[in-house]
Amino acid sequence: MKNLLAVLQDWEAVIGLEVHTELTSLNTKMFCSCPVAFGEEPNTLVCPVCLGLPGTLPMPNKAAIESILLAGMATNCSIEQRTMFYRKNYFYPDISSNYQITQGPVAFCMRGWLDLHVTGKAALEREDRLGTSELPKACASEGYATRINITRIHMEEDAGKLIHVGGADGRITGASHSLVDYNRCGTPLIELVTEPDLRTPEEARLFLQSLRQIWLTLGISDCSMEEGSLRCDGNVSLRRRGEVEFGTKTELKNMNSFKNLHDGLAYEICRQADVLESGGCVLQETRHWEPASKHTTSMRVKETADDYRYVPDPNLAPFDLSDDFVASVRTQLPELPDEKRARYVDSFALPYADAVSLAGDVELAAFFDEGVKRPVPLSPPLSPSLAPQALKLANLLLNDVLAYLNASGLTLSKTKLTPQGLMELAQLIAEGTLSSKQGKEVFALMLESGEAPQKIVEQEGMQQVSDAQSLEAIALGILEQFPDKVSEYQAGKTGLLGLFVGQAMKATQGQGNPKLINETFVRLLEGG
Amino acid sequence: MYLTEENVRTIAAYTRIALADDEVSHLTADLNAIIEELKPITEYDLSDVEPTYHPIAGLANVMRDDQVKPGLQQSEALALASATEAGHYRIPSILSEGGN
Amino acid sequence: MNYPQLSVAAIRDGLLARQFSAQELAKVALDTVKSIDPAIHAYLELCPELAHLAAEKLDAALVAGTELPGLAGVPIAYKDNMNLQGTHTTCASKMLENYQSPYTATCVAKTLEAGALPLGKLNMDEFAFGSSSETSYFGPTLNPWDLKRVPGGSSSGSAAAVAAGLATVTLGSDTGGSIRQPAAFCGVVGFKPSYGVVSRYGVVAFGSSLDQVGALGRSVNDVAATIDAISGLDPLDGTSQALKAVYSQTTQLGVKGMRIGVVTAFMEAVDVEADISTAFTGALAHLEALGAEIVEITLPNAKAALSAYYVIGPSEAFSNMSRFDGIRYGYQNEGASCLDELYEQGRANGFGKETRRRIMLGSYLLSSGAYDTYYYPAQQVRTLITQDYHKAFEKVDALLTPTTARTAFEFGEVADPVSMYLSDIFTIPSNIAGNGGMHVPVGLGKESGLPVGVQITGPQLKDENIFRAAAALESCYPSIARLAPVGSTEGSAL
Repeated sequence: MKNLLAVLQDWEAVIGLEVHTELTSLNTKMFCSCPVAFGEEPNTLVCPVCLGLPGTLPMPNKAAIESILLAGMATNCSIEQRTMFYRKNYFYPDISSNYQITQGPVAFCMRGWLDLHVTGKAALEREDRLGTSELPKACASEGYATRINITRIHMEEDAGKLIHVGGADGRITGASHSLVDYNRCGTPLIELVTEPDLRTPEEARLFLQSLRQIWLTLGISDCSMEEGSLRCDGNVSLRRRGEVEFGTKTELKNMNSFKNLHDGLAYEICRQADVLESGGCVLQETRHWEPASKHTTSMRVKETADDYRYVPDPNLAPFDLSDDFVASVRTQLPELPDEKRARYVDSFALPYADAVSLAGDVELAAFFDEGVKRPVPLSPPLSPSLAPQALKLANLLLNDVLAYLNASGLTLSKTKLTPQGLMELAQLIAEGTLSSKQGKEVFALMLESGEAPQKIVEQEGMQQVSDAQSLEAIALGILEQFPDKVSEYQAGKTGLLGLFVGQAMKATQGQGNPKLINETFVRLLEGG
Repeated sequence: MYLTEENVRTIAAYTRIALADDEVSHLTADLNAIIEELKPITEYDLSDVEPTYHPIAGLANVMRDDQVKPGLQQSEALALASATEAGHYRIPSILSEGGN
Repeated sequence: MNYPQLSVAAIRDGLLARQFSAQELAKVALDTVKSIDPAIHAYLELCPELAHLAAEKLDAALVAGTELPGLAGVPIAYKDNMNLQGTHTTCASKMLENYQSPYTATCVAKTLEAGALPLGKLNMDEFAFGSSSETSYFGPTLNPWDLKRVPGGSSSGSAAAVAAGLATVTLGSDTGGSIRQPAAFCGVVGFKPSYGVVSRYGVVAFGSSLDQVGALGRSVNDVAATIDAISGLDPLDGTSQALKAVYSQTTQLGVKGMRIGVVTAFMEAVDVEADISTAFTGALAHLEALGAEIVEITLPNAKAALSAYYVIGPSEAFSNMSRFDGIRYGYQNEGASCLDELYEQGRANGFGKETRRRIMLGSYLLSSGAYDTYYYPAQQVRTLITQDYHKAFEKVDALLTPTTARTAFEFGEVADPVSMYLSDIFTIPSNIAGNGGMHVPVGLGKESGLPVGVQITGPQLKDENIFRAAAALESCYPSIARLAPVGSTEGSAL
């Protein structure tokens, strides 16, 4: 089989995604008052309604409707005020009434879009687009922008879980019997369907990552691909470059991480190219991505379209949402990652890549915003612009803090750090009171004790020597000690500056402000 | 004739009801007779008529607050079932011998 | 004092006057069922413990002197598609033969809160699919007026029990006439409220946009008191309504000044038995004599109601019945080698013939192609029928029609499904449009000797109009027999 980049020279991949998100932030299920929770004992989060007992009726969760409206607003969808719930009738043991309540032709959210900025290595899968469309000015990296249209986002209920017993690896094939747990049955679920606008596995990955960041920013779901609260299926087909007609598509399942989404799609694209190039036909089928063996296997060939006998649910009154209701939901819309990124670039001059990273992490971004809101009054007074301090704060968050969180497995809220404390540290470093090395020491102590950085600096006597007069005295002393080297420097061997600075740092026991020392030597040596 | 015996077998399979051969022929006749009685609604000019799925006109936006209420204990739920195992409902193999 | 003759009001008075205790009443009511029911098979299950528990509470309230609730001491029984914790809910099906619900239906719970004494659960057509009780897995209920005849259905036991004095009032459900038609066959008052008046939560669904819970009794006042107790907004049923009307206060208002509509064209299209035409004409004359204005109206699309019903009903039923797969509850075909066998054999054996037929029909009607040919147009026709009613009720306050085209038929007399379906022709339109309807008995037919009566329907969610007209009409027939002969046996004295 040819590799992906080679295949994409001749073929264009056409990819659409279906993304299911459980609204895990809600207290209760979609149509009953059972709790939404993960990892509980089987069949303990159930009631007559979600078990489909005879005589029960569904009652929609208002907060779920609000959540899907937020999701639609955040992805540029039109909000459909007049819509209904439908029943999708099919027999499967994980759905307790043997029909799923979902939506019909009109979903709560229709016709949205997201813009992707594909840069760096990710852009290489689409060489033809490099430099063809405008990226934001701040984005220095090479790449392209592309708009992915969203067909719809509809509201539905999740199914329960099946455990297959007696077969290999818990798979359905070869199982002697199966067990059903309805704890998840009825969990509010939103399904987003894209148009077939994606062209590369990297675009698909980036789309899902952007979507996840938006959902997390909205706070509607924990979006855990591992626990299945964010799930993604892909539809893939190939066509020759320049061709207009779509090829036969396959549906790809079990891509339960960003890497699996990319690799599964990449494999499927290569497999289809292989089939087509050897004169075969792609079958319309559902395929399963096997991450361990890195290939896809056929689950089910679709000969005819499924007839789910969709029918409006007579138990659920239609929706005719008022303008006021929609407007009140819109006021709950937080600042979205793209807006945040732009603000970080505009207000704090953060580098584009840092702004993207920071804006994409809800917890770090909230910490950052809280930090820059309340800089601690320091002496000497802050420069009129917060930019240097903010940049330092962003660096601390994206490097030191993130590294610590990854190593410790903690979330930011579980550490002893506070936004004000971290901002104070950023200020002390940015203003030269602390060297970077000292900054790292203070950071470590903050994690341990939770003390404010200024207090730590006082206790440890870590003040950086930034007094210009005393530094000049030290510098003059060093120059007197090394007259030969001074002559060599003045003869053009400017690399010797490092030696002088090193000596000065030694003399100040590492607490000299390196920038100021540097400047002092240059001034003295170059006849200032 | 609206439905053939083959149609009826397909519907039965979809609806998960096993039919004996003699029942298929009876049911085909019954269903065709009933469908014949449905003719009046196919003879209307219904352009511009909205459907009525819900009998109370104007009833809309019925929702509840997102508040947990007690449900059933695991034992209460499973007590209703014929086959259970380790806190779960037990079902036979989902795939038939033929591997469908 | 003979218990079966007591009204809701008389029971209340008797309790307050200490003529009998609730416990005594419960015992007599249960004993009456035990002695008489074997002859008609109205009951599927008795719940003496629950009845005595309710009686005990009520007697304590009497001693404490607290105010008695609306159905205090009223012996009541429920169609067996209504969940009552502590009893079975079989829907008269093998599928649910052993099913005991872990929760109670809202309408049932409300009768208990109102102080009624729950006697037990009543026979019906399987899952309410039928008009005669012949589809009950547990065998039919016999008409107390003539044991050779059907009691009607699907609320067969609910009507027969009231007619035989085996309960003061009963609850039934009505999807296309399932309360009013058996009420007509058994000569009792049977009321289907407007859609939304009574919560459907806990009542096993047939056609969810057509189903409505109602009550049967031997008088309009008894039924009014029962509806007052069970109606109202239910947070568990999103289609239930909060209405202010107190029906038992409207029964005294009289019919003077009301405009009563008749639909001559509709009646002429149907072959109505002479006894029933006579009853209808007589009732109309009485209403006019009482000061009602009689107005001729038309329901041009009512003739399509039957077809629309036989699309919408089975379609909704098909989907509602899918949950019966034997996994979480209900009949399971043990030893199935795979899941599909479990489903297919279980549903083939657990459901009766008529149930299977309706499910199959509904499944077909929702399949692609048929959906556009039948289902969607049926819902459009429903709009036309609803508009007919809206127009009619601009001109009149209530409609008077027959309830059924004929009196109770003999067992086995109507064998083919189409003829059976046609027997609901007068009752179906109000299920389609969601308005209320009541059967009011007016005595026995001269030719048949069987109960006859009329149906009064009203505008949607204005059921007080029906109670007004029905109570006035009832007062014109003070001496008709309210209890069938089988009910007039000894051993029921208090």
